[in-house]
Amino acid sequence: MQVEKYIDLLSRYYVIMDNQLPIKAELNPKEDYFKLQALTDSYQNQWNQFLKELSTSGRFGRIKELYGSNHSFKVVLHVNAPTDGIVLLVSMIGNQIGMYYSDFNNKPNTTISTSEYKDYVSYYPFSHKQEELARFALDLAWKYFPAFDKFDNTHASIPYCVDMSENQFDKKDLFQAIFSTSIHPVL
Amino acid sequence: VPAWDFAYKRNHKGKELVIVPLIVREGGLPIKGSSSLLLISKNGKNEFQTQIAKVTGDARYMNAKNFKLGDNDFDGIVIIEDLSGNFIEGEAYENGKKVGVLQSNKTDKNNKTKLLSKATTGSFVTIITHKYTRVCSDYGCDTHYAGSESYTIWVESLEEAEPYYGTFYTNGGGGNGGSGSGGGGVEPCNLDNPDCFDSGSTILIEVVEPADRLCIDSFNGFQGGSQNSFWHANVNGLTFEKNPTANIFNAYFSLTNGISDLAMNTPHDGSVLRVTYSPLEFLQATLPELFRNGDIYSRMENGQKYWYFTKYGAQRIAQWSSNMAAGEVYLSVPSPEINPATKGQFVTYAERYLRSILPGSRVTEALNPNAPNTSASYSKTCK
Repeated sequence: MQVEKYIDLLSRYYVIMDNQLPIKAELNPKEDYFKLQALTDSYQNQWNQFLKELSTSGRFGRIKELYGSNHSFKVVLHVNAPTDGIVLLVSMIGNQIGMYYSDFNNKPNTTISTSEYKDYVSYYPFSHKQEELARFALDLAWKYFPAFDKFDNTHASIPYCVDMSENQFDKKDLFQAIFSTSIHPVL
Repeated sequence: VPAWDFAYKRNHKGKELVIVPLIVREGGLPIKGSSSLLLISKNGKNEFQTQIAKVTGDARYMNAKNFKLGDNDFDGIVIIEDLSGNFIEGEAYENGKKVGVLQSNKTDKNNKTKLLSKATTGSFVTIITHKYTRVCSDYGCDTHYAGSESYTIWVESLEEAEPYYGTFYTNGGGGNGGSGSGGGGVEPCNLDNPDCFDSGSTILIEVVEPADRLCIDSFNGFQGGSQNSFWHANVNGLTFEKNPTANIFNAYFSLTNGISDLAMNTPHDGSVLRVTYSPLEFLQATLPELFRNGDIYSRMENGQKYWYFTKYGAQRIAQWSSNMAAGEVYLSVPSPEINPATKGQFVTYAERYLRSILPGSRVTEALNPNAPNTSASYSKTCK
């Protein structure tokens, strides 16, 4: 999916102020955004089964479900507890599956500038093991969310700002906008 | 910490004073909403007197001044203390002019308010002054609440406060019924007649603060989420105003639970504070009672240490983030009472504060139909 398509997608739910980068959105979402809750709820059983199969696979250490938002699911998967892992999200905005990576022991090659933990997180795997387990988790996610696409992380860091008031912006990026998440390390 | 390089001399009441600015930290953070000075004067040949002057602007003044204290239009209070922190004297200022004399909250042996000043007529006003740290970087400035101080001051010649004089007079001990100023009218109290201010008198309370404060029983309906990995609730009745009439709203709070010791001890940029703090350090500085009472605790799982908190811990942390968000909205939004964007701002700030101590936590405008509902209650008297 091209950047313009992501912008077009987001503009269904948020008021986008213009077509220039960084993308700037108004603080409050459009009314249609609040209809996504019902869609998310309709996938709750699939999400629960996905978590159960992740757990029984024995491939991950701790599996920690966190609240995503009213349009997304979120789970933290420990690869080597507690130092590194994968965060996987499923978003109803554009039917996307997203992943980012965390490692306390290695520096990322490319940093996520909007994260409060930029030394420990990345949109790209830190190791072959993370890459392999991310592929495993993604294949499993597709089993329960077959109509969903993998979010292309080459677009993840496109700046996306939320206008809070004069000269104040909540600085995020496209990934955080689509999946409604902050980028934190494995917890 | 005295900043000796910035010491200067000034004459005050016939004495030469050496004034040394003090760098004051609270919870490790420098206080910018107030200024402390070390005052050194010579009492005798080899005798020096040292006192501390605390200069604190009120919240509105400090915000308008971007947290710089001005000389000519200062609104706030100046308190003189000894080195042990005991109150000696003080003054209140409005627009650079002295409007009152500070008096301690102490009472004498007869349980009567100890008077430190003589004046003609007036009334007591309790001022609660809130302090903020203001931390700036290339991204702009952020504000952090750093506690409050309360002082009762004697404000001279406030004729408009007459109804309160009546209350004083009625409750006053010692048979001060009086002639009044004609027609059975109420005679104003004055400080030559201290019995007039007996204990139990009603005192005009003027609270100078960004908002009312949440009461401790707020948010008592939090519930554990999936596998104890978060606490959550839809919170009803949030606001940020004094005497709210509008902008009372609901929001969903999800607080991450069971966080690894490694994550809790890893410093982050701090989206609100712009200071390098680990979540655990910040929690210990902000809500130490939760550690003392076991509402935040660690346990070992598969050889690793994880941090959990109780339902009451979740309640208190959610209260704290809501109070902080209320202060942020009140200070940063022009006319918040009529600004429709304020709910979104409140939610954004509340989440930033939450994430500072519990990474991965969420606050959203959209409620979660799968979460329980709980209520917020506010009062000026809640702290």
